[in-house]
Amino acid sequence: MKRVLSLAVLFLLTGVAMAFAADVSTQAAVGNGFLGLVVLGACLGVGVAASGCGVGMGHCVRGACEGIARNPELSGKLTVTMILGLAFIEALTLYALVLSFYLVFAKLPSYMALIGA
Amino acid sequence: MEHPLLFLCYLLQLFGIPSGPHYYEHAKQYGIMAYIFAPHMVHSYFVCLLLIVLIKLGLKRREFIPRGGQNFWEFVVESTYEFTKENVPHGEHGKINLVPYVFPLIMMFTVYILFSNYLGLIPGFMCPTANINVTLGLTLITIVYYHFLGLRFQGFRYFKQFLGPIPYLIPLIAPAEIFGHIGRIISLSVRLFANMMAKELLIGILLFLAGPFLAPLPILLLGVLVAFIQMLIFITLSLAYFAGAVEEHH
Repeated sequence: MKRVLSLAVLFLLTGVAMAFAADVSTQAAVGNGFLGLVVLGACLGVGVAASGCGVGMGHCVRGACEGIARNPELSGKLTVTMILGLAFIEALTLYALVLSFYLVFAKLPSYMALIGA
Repeated sequence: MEHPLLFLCYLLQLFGIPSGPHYYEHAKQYGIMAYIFAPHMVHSYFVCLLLIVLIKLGLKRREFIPRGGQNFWEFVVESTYEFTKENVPHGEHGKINLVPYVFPLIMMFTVYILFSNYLGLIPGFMCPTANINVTLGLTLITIVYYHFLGLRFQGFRYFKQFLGPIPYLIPLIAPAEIFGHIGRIISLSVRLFANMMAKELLIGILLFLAGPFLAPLPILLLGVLVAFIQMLIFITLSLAYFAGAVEEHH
């Protein structure tokens, strides 16, 4: 009973805080560092995506190298398959790059206009 | 970043047509002419004209032993035909022969995307495919066409493909399949667009940083490789979608 009551009070306070949120967007952008968060998100996003894809590409090339070492007369077909696999994995990093393009070229100028100019 | 100087847009500006990289910000005030003569559209027209001129020149004389231009185009057509035949059911073992339905489209994709990607390496031009509108248009052709092929060859049994093999798992499998198919639109277009735009941005940034010392050369070499590979990926995926839409359901 006490637990339910404290949870209800918590939700009520959150609701009251969110009611004021619509008014403080400009202050939040200036004071709480949204600008820094936008830039941090753009850079960290591509970094983490590239690290995961690097691991995947390493596995792909390892498989191709082992296959060619085991059976050198298939090297043409194995190379083509490796290039195909590399391009698919690289596309995943590029999805993150497109999102960071959006942040840097479309969100950042609007935040700069909100505080700087 | 500053706007690049594009030769074709500069040429059009001498004739008084509003065209240039500043279109992307001030489109509303120029009206319909800016939409028709936007930089990516102008370079797309240029690629089409270039292809028509080159092919006409190559086919001037038809000899039995091909030389020169005819040799090159015969090589391109034959390699694409063999590639299409490998990846799509072509009538053996009593399967459907899909090659006449698919080969002209794949030929167009090959030649158009290859020439578009290589156009961006010439200084003073941009890739038409470095713009999401162009790649989204090419992707939508593939998407609409493979659904059409599936419906044509299998009728309404085509939609049973989305339901999976086991009947009482339908609420799990159907949304996953539908979202997978929707994800194909985004993935196919964004892959080509992001590769080309990243190449152009890298070349631009390296020129700003250390231009006079041949800094963008490694990126240009990589760009040649990436342009060809991305064309191969687009065609392979399109053929895989066509073949997957038509095959018998388990």
